[in-house]
Amino acid sequence: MAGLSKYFIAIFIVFYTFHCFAVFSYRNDEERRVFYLFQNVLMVLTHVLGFYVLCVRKEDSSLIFLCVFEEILFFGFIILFRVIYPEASRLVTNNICMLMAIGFIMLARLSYTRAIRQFVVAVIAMAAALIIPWLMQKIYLVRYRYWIAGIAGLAVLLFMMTIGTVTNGSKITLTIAGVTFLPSEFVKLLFIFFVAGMLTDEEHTDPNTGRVDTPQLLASMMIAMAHVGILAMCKDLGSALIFFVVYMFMLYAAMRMPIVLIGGTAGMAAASVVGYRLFAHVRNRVRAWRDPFADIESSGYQMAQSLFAIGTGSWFGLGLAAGSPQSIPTVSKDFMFAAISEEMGGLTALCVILISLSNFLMFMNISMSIRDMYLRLMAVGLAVNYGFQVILTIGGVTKFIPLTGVTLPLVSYGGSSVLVTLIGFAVIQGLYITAGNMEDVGPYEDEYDYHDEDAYDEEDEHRHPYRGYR
Amino acid sequence: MRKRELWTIVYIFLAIFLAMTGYFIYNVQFGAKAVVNDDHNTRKKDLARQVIRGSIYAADGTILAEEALNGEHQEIRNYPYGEIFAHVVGFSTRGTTGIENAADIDLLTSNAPVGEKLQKEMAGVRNTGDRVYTSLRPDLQMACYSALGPYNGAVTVMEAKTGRILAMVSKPDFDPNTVSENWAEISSDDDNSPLVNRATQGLYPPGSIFKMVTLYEYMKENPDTYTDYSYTCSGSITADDSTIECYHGSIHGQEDLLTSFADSCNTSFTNIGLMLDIPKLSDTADRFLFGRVLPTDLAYSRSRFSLNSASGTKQIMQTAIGQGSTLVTPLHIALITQAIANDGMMMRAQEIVKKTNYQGTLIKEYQPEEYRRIMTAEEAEVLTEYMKEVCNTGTGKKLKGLSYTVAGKTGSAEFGNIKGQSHSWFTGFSDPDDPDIVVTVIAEGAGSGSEYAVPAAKRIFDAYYGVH
Repeated sequence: MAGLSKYFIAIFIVFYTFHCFAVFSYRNDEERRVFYLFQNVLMVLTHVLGFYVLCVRKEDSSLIFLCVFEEILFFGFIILFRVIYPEASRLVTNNICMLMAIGFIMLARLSYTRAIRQFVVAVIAMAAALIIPWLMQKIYLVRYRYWIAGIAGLAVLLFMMTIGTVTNGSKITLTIAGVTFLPSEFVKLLFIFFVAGMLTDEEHTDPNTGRVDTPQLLASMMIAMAHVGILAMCKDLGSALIFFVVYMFMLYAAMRMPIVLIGGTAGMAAASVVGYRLFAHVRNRVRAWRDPFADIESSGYQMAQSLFAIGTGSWFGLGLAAGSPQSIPTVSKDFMFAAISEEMGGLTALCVILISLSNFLMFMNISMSIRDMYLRLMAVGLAVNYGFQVILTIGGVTKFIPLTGVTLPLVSYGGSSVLVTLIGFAVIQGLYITAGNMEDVGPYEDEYDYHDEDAYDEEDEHRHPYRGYR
Repeated sequence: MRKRELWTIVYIFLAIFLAMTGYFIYNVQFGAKAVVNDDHNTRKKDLARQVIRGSIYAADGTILAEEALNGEHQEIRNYPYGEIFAHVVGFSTRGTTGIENAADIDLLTSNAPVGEKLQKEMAGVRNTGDRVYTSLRPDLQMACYSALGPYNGAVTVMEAKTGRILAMVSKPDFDPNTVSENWAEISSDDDNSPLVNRATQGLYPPGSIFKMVTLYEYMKENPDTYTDYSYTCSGSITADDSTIECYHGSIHGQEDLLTSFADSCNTSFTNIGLMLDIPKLSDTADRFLFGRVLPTDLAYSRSRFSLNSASGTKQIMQTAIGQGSTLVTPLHIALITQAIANDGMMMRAQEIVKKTNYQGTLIKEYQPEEYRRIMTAEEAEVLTEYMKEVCNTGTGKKLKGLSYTVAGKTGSAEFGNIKGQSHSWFTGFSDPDDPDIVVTVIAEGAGSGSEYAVPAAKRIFDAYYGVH
């Protein structure tokens, strides 16, 4: 049974992933509901079967308890979220659980203690995720106080620069009472709130063009570059890159100018060259990317191990606990994707990419359904942050691009990452609910015209008292 | 913020995701094999726990390597031919070498029927890995093994038109059946280095074999006048205080290019070497794969060639006749010879012909593969004529008057500091009009090429053509 399990797991995950995309073709809510339920069943089957194999292969029956607790957590989260926020996107909720289930299986396989710690963080994070959509109703409280988010974020980063410790050569961490945080993860959320508020502030917006005025634009740029600069100075180039890209796409969406993307990409290219010249670890990673086998004993080791893992695993994998993922340095964080590919197989790994893509598309879908510019831009920021992070980590692990040392959201080990990602997902759900409420108002045009906004605002005002408030 | 910008963002990300997904799919499906087969991949051990290593077969269907049970019912790797195929087939019991290494991932992959595979996986029984069929011929291999006699060295037999290896012997050897048990002894024998496959990894001075390159270069630089070349050999030639003598003090007298080559006249070829355009010679050496990657799956050493425009007269003189700092592997010489036989087109050296599952169902056939054209068909034809003359009137005339004709070149590569000590080289191919096989022999310290390597090659050609 354990021998065949890898095929079953792969089939479950493929079916699950199929429904991530097929669900869009069903206009009927009743039909969708059945599919969402089916996804939940597949998730449970995958998770339970994975743990069963681990129990057999590792001869460790205590894993059963972990499995049961995790199932309780998933069920609790799915049911509570459904009850409290019936209008929330079930696809997003399902995907959170599926990705976490895959991550839980691999973590239990790699390190029992880490699996337990991840579980504890997940409990906290899911509890937080349950409150956040409700908190989003109070978003007007911070809407025009975006400066607080921007300055608080910068302050945290500056504080970190002075007292934080550097791990892995390029990550600043802060340890409080035995718990280690990655502050840059939390600052990312503040940053998105800040940029969204800044670039949609009506007070600074030209009513004719719908773009913010130059002082506002320059101020946002300066604060954004300050974030990126501090992170670069801390050698956390992966985070610096994510902040930059998030800002670039948010600015593009808000200013509606393609030059932002062109200029931003050119700027990134220039910064890459500077980074390459300046930092030895960047040069090492570029070298390992170009030919990991040239220097397989040192700089290419990690990359080569990852490629061995993916290649040896082939489509169906070596089977859980039947490969050697622990030979990849930092496997449970940056290289989780390679471990999944090795033991659960390339097919499952491919599905992880597609589920992540489905999340990104869902986020963008949500952003398009929101007509409030502030909330829409926030959704865009969160979507880009998530999508880009997935590209960086999976692209890095598969040698598509040089490695940046970013974790795979929801799947990799790492408390801060899980917490922040789940908060981000919950915010999106909050936005989705808000958007859902607004949809009753009436149809909106594809080419949404800024000039009409006043009309909508008036119409909306009685339903959403916070809109238009200062 | 219109929807158009949001769609643009969606499309940008979608494009990157698709490219990344495509890259991943391509690598898992097509790129993985080369990566997985890398010696540094320790995960092959994980595969070996799930698959019974497949067998390796000779061209005639006899087994060269298989999994078997010993007296204590332990699983062992059995090599029926013992030391005879030790290097080319290799072993998998202490690391992997030879074909065991080149086909490692194939042997550890099971393409058994899906139903049976699933059944075994369910029962927790290992599946059987695929079979690898080689082009190696045990009859020729044994002929090569005995032809080399008591000497250390290497013999390679290659199909002239396909580049397929029919036999490859290296001595001294070892028994692959017991290599793991005797590892300490075998691996520490630095005097003989029995683990080294001399055919692919042994670096030897080419001696007069290199005159094929010098000759080629002279003809290429003087396309209209090379037939007018004339030189009077007085037994030695001196330039800038360096002197080169003919082998064993021979004096060849009046010669043209053809007789210089046939008699392997050192002084004449030194004279030619001094007339060559050195950067062009260097380009030719490059094209002939000196210092380059060789088209083979077996572990090999790169040949060395270090002449450039700054080289001194002495170095040029020595290099022209294959002494100096040039070093070659026998396989490299075999490949150059093969290219000459095959109208200038070098083929990939192939040992693996096909792959089947353990029941014999064909999985993949490997067609002969052109690697690179190193000279034109016309140039190859002229070189062939010159090499025929070697076996007709020159140093290889022991190969004259047989049921088959041979075009070849001998070499006596001096090594060490004792005068007159040399490795005995021969490389050549049979039936130049419609070439059959390429035979390359080197016998360490066996004297001149015509003394030992030519008769050894004759016995191998005889075995191939069934002459006794």
